[in-house]
Amino acid sequence: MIAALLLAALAATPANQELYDRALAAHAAHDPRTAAGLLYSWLKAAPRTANNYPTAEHLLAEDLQALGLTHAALVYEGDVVRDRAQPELLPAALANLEEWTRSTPHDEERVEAELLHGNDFGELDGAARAYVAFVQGSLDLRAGEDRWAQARFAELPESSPYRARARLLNIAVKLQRGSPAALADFEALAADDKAPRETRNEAHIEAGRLRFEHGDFAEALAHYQAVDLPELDPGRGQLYLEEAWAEYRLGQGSRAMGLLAALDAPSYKALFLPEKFLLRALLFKDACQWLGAKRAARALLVHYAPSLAAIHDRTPLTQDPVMAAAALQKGSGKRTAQLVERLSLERNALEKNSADWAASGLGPRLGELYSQEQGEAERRRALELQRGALRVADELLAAAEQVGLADYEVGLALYRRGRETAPGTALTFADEKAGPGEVGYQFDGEYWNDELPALRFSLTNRCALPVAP
Amino acid sequence: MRYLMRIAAGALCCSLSPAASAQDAGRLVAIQQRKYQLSHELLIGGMVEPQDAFSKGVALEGAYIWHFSDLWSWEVLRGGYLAQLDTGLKTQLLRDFGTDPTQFESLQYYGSSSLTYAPLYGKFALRNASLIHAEAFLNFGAAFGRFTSSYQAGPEVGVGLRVFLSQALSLRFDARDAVFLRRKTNSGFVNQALFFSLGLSIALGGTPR
Repeated sequence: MIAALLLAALAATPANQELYDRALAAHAAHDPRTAAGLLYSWLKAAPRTANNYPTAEHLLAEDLQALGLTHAALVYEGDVVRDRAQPELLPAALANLEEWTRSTPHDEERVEAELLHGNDFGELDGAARAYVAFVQGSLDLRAGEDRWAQARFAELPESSPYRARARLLNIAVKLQRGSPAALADFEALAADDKAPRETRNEAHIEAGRLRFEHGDFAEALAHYQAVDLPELDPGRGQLYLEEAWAEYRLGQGSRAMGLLAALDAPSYKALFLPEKFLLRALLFKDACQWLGAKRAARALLVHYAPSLAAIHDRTPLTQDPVMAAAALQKGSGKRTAQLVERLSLERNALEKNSADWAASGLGPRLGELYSQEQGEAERRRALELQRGALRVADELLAAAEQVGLADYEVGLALYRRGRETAPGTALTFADEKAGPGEVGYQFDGEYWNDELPALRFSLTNRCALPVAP
Repeated sequence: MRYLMRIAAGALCCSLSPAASAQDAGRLVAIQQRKYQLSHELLIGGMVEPQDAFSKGVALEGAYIWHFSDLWSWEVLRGGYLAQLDTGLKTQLLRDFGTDPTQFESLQYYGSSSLTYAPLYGKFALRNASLIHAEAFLNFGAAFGRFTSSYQAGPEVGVGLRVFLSQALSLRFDARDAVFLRRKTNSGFVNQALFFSLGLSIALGGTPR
């Protein structure tokens, strides 16, 4: 108590007031490095009950974010939100949290689960209210608390983009619970012009997958192709593969093969998609192109030979670089890996500033913060890696088994006497030429992102050729 | 027939892929919808006629073009009114040598009509962030002009380049050579004029992709 009073008295001293004023001046002059050091010096000397304490933390967070130290910024802005000592700061602090976490990998457990879901913010207005309601509602939904989730989502204004996202989450949960209405709901959301593009894209993808599962390949394809991307966005490799399967099922051999060729683009070089080898082998096989089919089937075994050997030799899966990379390419594994990478980048940025902040103590304090967070992120990444590697190994073994089967079928077909006994196929490999209103670019080994979905492969379907006497 | 314009510097990514080598049994081609298709076009812009040593013509010009396919179009009418900017040569000749140069006829206004063939359509990658579509074309037609003391007409050929800014707007550069045939032959049979034009095209109709 006495110590707190002493600190409060210290905060009000003229020397400290001058320090605070200098910090404000540096912040206003857009000098975040100086401002951050001065603000931290002031915060260190001031009690948490000091009038300007939340403001100083808020400004420090903004300066740290300006220097690229998002994790540190989230820690200090999180304090402002958690303490709510200055309620008038809350909307600005929440807006910052929303902006800084929107597209930057961050500790979701710390920000969304502990800070936003674990606190009651009372009455909020505008954008802050929508953000908090969405985060709280989505976490409630994930925890199975439907009633609370719907109450939160009901707070979302009609105009908020979170409304469409909440709708998407609700449909996803419906799908998880096996509701047959999920497909219609996804399609309705995909067709909703008011929904943000990303949400509509997600709805299209989910609807496409469901249509494919129901055997409605034309509709599935329509959904995949309706995914709207910026001009030179390479898109998602997994989607091209799914689209290629749909084209294959529809008998569009040249389009399916073109999409598989797109997956060889440098953008997808590291993507773990063993199924593309299988599908390519099936396409060649169905066109009675036996040599091509055998090559494609064996390409998988060659491409993943070290990984398959690692599985068979029972060596730790996470030590295989291909499987380790593949394990962290999806979902929570991907997010955790991105967080580790981001923290490492921020740590480097911190090193550049730490000499300037040695005197104020901000450098050592942030070093400590980053060490803790990096340790925790590494621990989570190791867990995700372990889980993901098992999944990847299963996927790889299944694909290897399938291509083995395709290879065997090709061998059988080769030993058949005449082509009349070859399996019939509806696969078309048109010699694609640009029609009216179209433009054709001959592929010369250079991949253009905008052309990836438009690649076509012409091949002779030998099954359809007349048999020589 | 369409050609592909690609620049190495703007390449998004280059490498000879396993797909290209493994799929030697077939042919891989990217077939895309043409991003910009034109139907009718109004052009407004400026023209420079730089050939005359005594004066340089500058004009405000306009045109209407009808596109009946991606390759062929008809520039129904292009016309402009010129202002002649004195280069000072005539004054210099008078001052330094006391010589009054032969009176050359200068162009006052003109009109032309031509057929356009656009065999080149392609794209450039702008800093790997966006695409710029462009086409190059040839013109063949006829032009007439009102000169200082006569009307003259003759054939015209040219080349041009269009850079699409959007479906509605494009930037167009034309270089044309008109050969005006004279009826009075005391100063030669032909009067050749070189026109450089830069204009903004407004597309009417057409199909955005």
